[in-house]
Amino acid sequence: MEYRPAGRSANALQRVVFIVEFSKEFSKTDFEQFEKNSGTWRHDFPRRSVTNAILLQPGSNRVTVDENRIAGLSYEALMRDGSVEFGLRFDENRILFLVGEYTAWAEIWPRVSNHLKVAMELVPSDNPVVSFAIEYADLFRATGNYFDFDARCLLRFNSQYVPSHIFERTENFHFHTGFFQTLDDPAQHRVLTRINADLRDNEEERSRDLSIVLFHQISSHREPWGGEAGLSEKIIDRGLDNFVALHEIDKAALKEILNDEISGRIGL
Amino acid sequence: MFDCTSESQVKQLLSITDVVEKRPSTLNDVYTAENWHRDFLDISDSSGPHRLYVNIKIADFQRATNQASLRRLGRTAPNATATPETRLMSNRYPDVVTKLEARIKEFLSYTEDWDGEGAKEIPMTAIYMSLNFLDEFRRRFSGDEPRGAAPSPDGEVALYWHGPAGYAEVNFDGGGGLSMCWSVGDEELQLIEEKVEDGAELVTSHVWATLSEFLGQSRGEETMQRVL
Repeated sequence: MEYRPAGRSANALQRVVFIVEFSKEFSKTDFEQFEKNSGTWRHDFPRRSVTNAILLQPGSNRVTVDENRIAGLSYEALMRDGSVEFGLRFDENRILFLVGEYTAWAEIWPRVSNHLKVAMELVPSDNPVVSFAIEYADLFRATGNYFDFDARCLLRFNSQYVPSHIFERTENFHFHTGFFQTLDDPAQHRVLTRINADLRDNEEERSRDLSIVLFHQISSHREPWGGEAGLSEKIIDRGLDNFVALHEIDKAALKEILNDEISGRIGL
Repeated sequence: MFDCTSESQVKQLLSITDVVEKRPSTLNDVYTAENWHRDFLDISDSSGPHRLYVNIKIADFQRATNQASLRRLGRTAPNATATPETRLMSNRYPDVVTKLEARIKEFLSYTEDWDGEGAKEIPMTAIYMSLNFLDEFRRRFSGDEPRGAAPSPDGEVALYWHGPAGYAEVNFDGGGGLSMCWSVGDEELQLIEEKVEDGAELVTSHVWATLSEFLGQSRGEETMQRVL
């Protein structure tokens, strides 16, 4: 079989989402501020849409929309295939930046950080950041004789994140895992990593598609049984550089999941 | 499936599966398209709250689904577990949109000569304007959504409404131009045109005001026919 990264550009990435979470939900005034200042990014993201709050009535199976309450504002640039190229979203208590056309970190990051910086400055200071997170969705494609599929050609045998049984299988499989890790630099904080991998048939392409979704989040240090103390000032002061740290964590995790050849092909 | 102890908890826990599973079988786009006309009548003479809800809330339902999908992305469970959520949906990142939005987004692929007879490409600006217009429209006039959307060979996007009371069509071109043609009853077709600098300010346009007035008349006419 032939195995290759199947990203939108010369990599395996289908989509990257940057998430900054705040302690409180955005108020009506906050949303008005976001909209009022949207001229900064409106040219880059011309598609604007508003989402209203959802109300699910307890005891019934009804989902309705609270038309008086805004829960989200999104600004997007679309691609000719209808998918989102870039998007800036304000959603409840989070700012999300979506990258659908990921080329390289060096190209994407200046753009992402500029927009996130402007957006974050619009959030009142009494609503502090509680976490920074990134989610990466990678796709790898295998074409050829269906039952010749060999996970070793994509994944690292004996990887600490990959269960060994999948290397004995030619049919579809799924595995996921997740863990916290406490780090000390620049101050104590926790990093959550979630890994989801799923091998499926792609009927349209007549291929085997392996998607790997990695999620990494920086959040408050947690003393055993003591709850969370809140994100350290040093982490908050590190600001958008927290995403740079998460990016490095992601590269290390993905390199541990993929074999050397595939890692090399996507520049890890 | 979950303990509904407060509204905020319910909002946090609402998943895309919840929304989809709760969608009645009659709620689908085919049903909506075929019954667009009848919806007004059912609403004005609803046989019960469920009927009203089923007919008028389909766009809201789909938006709710979209929002629920987004809400789940990257959420950490409150008991600090590292357990990943089921990724069946987010692996594919489906952008759940209404049939009309999907139709307009189809025009993104309409490049030069898309009809084989020399049609112009549908400009991105026209598509953005029509999507933004549609979004604002749904928020302010739930239940009065356009009957359809169409591309034109001269590179425009049209949204149209028609019923017994008359016909209206709003066109978006690639240069920020907005036009509306309409007729009520046996009156002659009328036309207005204007330029909108910023797509987000569509609600202040003359076209918006004229369309609102047209739909007000149209709704009154339909109610009258029902009464008669």
